[in-house]
Amino acid sequence: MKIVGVAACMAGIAHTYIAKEKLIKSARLRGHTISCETQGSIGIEDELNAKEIEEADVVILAIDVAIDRAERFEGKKIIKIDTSTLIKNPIGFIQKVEKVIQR
Amino acid sequence: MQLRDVLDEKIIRIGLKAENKDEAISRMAQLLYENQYIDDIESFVRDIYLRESEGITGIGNGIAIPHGKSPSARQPGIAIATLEKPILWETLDGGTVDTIFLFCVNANRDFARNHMLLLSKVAAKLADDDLIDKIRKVSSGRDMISYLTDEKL
Repeated sequence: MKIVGVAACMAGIAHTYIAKEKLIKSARLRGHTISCETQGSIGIEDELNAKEIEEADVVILAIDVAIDRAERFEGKKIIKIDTSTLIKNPIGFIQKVEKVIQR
Repeated sequence: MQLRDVLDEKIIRIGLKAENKDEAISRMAQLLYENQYIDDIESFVRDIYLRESEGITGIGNGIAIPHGKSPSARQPGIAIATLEKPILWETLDGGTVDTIFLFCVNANRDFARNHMLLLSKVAAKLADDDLIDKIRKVSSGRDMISYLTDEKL
């Protein structure tokens, strides 16, 4: 699968960045390609580009707060999860995503 | 600026003695105060607990990442402690905590942006379970910093 993701937590200091890394590691481990941006206290980092979003099979929003520029994902298949649940069991989450998308 | 520039041996403690979460946080806040990272221990600790009340900061695998945004923070940094023995903490995996990363940051959005960017990179490294296993066994602050700044990751 081609995945794009956004990670954003309440304070935007720590969970955001841990969630992003866990998401990327576990997606790659499961053989997927992924790009993930972060929206934290320092603003947007590793911003997704239009092509990546266009080509993505799924958009994963690992977020605890409303994000900026959510309109970019209109019409895409979106799966939402909070950062804590993702951090707790990232591989399990990716496996669930696989099931939903392959259905 | 590099990762090394936000990590400071002076605010790292190996084998910190603490009976519980309150004691660990207060000892680490003391360390930040003694090294001029914060102006006021009491208000800093209050801001840390405000964030604690909003959600779990024990991310599993023995690691906790308490982090309030506090006006008492003068410069960004991370106090790091490995504990003499594990303590109870609210954690995602239900386990205890033996290694704490206490983030010292200000509520001001433009607060030393370069430093904040680097702190986020340190946070990202905590997603690596192999690195965590090494970190909890280090015998000095210097070793802690070399693992965290290893560019292989």
